[in-house]
Amino acid sequence: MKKKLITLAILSSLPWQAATADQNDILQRLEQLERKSAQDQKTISELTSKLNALSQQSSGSDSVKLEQRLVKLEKKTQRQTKSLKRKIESQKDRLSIKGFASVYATKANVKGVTLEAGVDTHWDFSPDTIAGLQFDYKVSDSIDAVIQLTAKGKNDFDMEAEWAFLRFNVNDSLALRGGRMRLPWYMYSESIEVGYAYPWVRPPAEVYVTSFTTYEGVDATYSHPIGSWNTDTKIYYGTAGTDVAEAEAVSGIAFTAEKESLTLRASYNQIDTISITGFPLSDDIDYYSASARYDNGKWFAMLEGAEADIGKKLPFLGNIAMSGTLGYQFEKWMPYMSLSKTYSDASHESNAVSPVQKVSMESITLGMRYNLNNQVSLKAEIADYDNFDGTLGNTVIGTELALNPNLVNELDKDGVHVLSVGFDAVF
Amino acid sequence: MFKKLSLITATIAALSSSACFADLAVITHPSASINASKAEVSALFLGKSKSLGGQKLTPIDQEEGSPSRDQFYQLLSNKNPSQLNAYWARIVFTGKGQPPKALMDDSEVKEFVASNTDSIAYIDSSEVDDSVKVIMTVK
Repeated sequence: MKKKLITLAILSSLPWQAATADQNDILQRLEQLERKSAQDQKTISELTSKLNALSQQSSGSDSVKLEQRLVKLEKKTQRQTKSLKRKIESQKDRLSIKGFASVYATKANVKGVTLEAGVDTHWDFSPDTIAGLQFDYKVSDSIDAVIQLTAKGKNDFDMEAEWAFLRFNVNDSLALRGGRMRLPWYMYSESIEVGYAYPWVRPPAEVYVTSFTTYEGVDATYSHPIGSWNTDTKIYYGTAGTDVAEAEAVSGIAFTAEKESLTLRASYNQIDTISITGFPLSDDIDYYSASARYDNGKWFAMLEGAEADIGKKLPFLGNIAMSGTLGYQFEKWMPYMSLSKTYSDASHESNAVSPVQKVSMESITLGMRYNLNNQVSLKAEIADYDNFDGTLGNTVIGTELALNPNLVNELDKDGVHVLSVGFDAVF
Repeated sequence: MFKKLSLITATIAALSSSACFADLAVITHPSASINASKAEVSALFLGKSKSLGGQKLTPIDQEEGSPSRDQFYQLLSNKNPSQLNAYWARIVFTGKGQPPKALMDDSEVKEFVASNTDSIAYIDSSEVDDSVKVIMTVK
């Protein structure tokens, strides 16, 4: 019983004791836990903030570093690109390759007539079709070399070098050239093959059909402003030869003055001792020319005159040639008209030559240029040559006449009409 | 008298053609001191002269086909792009010279002019800053 009582007492007291112990313990523990958790939370929050700060700091410094590296790289790449670009450009600046082409179909009413090339009675592409390629190479700051290769329909597209010269720019005003160059007789003599540069299909034959077009020699060009005019004075000397004629020396002086829309030009040229194939005697020819051009972007007007003083021993009379052109630019269209004339100089009648050795020709040319884009222009033109007066005008050379002896009569009776349609391009 | 007249005509031409274009500024290096007429600047860009007021200058073009370039030559030289090409065809294919070096855009042109004392170029006048000097405005 005692045992029971004790047990009971124990039993009854136990839960109490236990309960009190438990409660106190739990409370204590809770308090402890609360404190701990508060501490932990504090630590955690401290750690988190530290971590955050750390992570922020670390990632921030990394990105700054990365950015710096990127900027450095970018700058480096930019520098490299620039220097590469400069290198490429200086090479590109050194060598320039440019080209031009003209493709024309022409048709005439008479066979055997030569303007720049022989035209035929059926549509023919060969007389006025040409392609050219030009290479300019800067050897140094003051020296450059130019080669222009052309292939012409009239020569079966055989490649030839119309220009091949070396130039030395002594200073900004004076340039010396040596090699093969075109004769600078008239306003467009040097650029006669570049159709894109002028309104016509071909410059007026009365003036521009000449005995020689190129020479081998030297020239000196002095460029200097006079008041508000920019002027060029060129002197040249060399030799020239073709299949039908040979000159011991060609020389001359050409003066050009430009001011805004106006260009004035004059030249004096000598051909010393020209000999003509199959003709026993040789003599000199002097050419004089004067030209004026006005081109304000709307109106194109040009007047050109030339006189050939031909030595008495040669089988031709001296002659005078003149030409006038007027054109107007309507947006992309430019209609133009030319009137030209050439005739033998009466003061030379004492030479007493046959009509074939005289020259007489008049022409009217009507045409239209259309700029398809900045590199291609289309042209259509009709040229009517007349007033041959028993001569061959400036249209025929000996070989053509041999093929068609009746040509003089045909020309006298019908004149020559030439139709041309085609395009010019630069690239 | 003649100069005055041409100035008046130039002004009238400039006023009448300004409608649809932005103004162009003809710029040089800040160190340059140049007084030039439109005709003189035109002559320089067309290769007819090499200096302005005794100072040698290298003209810098904008790329072919850029509106600034078309506007510049139309206003200064009365040449549309085909006429300009025809002009240069005559110069280039007679071996007389080459057109000015062309750069890509206003900023490239400006940068070049700012770092080359002997250069002259044109840019949209809104692109002008202290790195270059404006010697003329074309409109």
